[in-house]
Amino acid sequence: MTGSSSKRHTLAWFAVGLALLVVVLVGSLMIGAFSIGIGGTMRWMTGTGSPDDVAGRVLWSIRLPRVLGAAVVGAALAAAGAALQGTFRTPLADPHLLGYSSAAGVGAAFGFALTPPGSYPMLPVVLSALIGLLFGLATVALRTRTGTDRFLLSGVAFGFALLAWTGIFVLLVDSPRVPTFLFFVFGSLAATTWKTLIVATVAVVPALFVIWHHARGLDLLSLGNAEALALGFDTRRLVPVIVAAVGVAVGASVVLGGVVGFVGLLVPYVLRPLVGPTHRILIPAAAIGGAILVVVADTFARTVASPAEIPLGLITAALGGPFLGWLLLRRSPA
Amino acid sequence: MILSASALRYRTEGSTLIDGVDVEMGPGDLVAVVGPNGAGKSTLLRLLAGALRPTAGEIALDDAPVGSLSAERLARLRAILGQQQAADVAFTVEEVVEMGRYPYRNDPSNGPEADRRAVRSALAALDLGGLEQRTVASLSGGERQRVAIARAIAQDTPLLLLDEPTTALDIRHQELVLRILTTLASEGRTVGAVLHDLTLATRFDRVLLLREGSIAAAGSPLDVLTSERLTDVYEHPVTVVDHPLGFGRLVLPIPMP
Repeated sequence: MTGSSSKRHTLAWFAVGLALLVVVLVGSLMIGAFSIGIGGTMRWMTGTGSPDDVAGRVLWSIRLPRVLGAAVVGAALAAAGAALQGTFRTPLADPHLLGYSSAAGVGAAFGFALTPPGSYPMLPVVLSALIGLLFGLATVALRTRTGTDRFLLSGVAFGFALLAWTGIFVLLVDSPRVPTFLFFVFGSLAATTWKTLIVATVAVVPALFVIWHHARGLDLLSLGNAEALALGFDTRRLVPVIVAAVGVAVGASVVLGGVVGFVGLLVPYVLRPLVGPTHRILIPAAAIGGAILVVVADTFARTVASPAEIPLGLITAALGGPFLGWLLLRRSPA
Repeated sequence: MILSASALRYRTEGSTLIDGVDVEMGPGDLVAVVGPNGAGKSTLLRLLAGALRPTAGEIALDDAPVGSLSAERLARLRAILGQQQAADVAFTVEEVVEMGRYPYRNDPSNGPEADRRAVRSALAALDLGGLEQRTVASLSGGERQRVAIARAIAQDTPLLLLDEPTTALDIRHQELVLRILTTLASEGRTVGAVLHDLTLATRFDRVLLLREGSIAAAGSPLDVLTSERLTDVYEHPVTVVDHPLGFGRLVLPIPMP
């Protein structure tokens, strides 16, 4: 029961977050190899530009899907991180660290290999989401058998192996249909199209809704599995549902942006002290925060060494890694 | 709420923890479950709560087999206090007590006002005023224990099963908890508690004394908690004397020579 003052507090954070998201989305649209500037962006957004100017075409067919794709990837990964941390009761649970992203990468690579160029990437999303989901269920089974340390380490081990298999597969297939090795290892939104964005979003949005729907159950899990069950949260049935939804969201994000690390770890960690541990608030807050982070990171990725691209995952790790390390060291040990 | 269990047996990892136990508790009952370490007290409590599935035997709440009830339905019928409370909980005291209302979230007859009332009165009953906005992680062990009891009370169930509710509590709060349990029973609820403090058990209505997974004795504290029986079951000399002011009896161990 949050008091009305803390409710206002939370609403204020959401307002700030959403405003910031809009600012970075518009800002990211303006910036790029082909400089458009605020005037050009505004003319295009308000529909007052000429229909066939280059700026409009760059914005509509290249930059807008990519910027929105970055937001979807960030929202999916950060919300997935928050949900996994709640489910497994450790702030180190993260879709990348636990191997969900790498597992989904195997499915995505197979799916791309079988999909004709230029069509909607249904098969990559289905396979990637399916493998993400199955991997998630496997981690639940694993968690009930092992302590936290071994659980996290086994996730790291499987994650490395699956990432390696994806890499080997991509190198052996060597098909123009399959995204590059770098895409699967470090992530990239360079190839985002409207078709990829639509298919991935259709999978991510319901998955995030399922996670959010069980937010109160995730709160109960913080007391322990037995306590949550005693309070009527059917852990045996609903934990698999939550984790399956995480697998689907992560799987779809991998088809869109490849394997991107740190977002699921960093965003909930930064937001928890600001908005509190309540998952009903934390999950949407993480989605907004993740979207902001990845939109900004992707803007760096495509502009810092323009016209060359730096893989997205390198940016999130290069900037997120030290930041998270600093946050962890700054706090006195709990 | 009538809780009845018959011929309960629970085996795990090759050993039998509970063997042929029958329990019957009804509205207004205040039952203490006592016995030496490893006698199966907590296991019995978890079986009765439906948190463990018995190897053999039946457990029913008002004639409904516990196994047939959904987690949510069960949570509206019985509250459990576990033996240990998680320490690293980032939620506030008020939020954790409010979690006791989770089973009612889909109940159309339960509005936010009923939730607020239940949370407020549970916080007040456990003397948690002033701590509502503190995080559970920042509390002492005894305060955490009181938060957990408040959560169980906010759950507002006809049956309460508590594993060592007075552990980590100072004498004032031990007495407070005992008074709360007595009041809950007098309201017609069924209350069962595992206790280590045998003196406290003398003030319960009924006592179930366990030894090696079976019932060594059951009945009124006067009949069950005798010097001879406790000396035998605990394998240590014990004397039981009347409380000098007339409040139940005192169970005192006799130091080894």
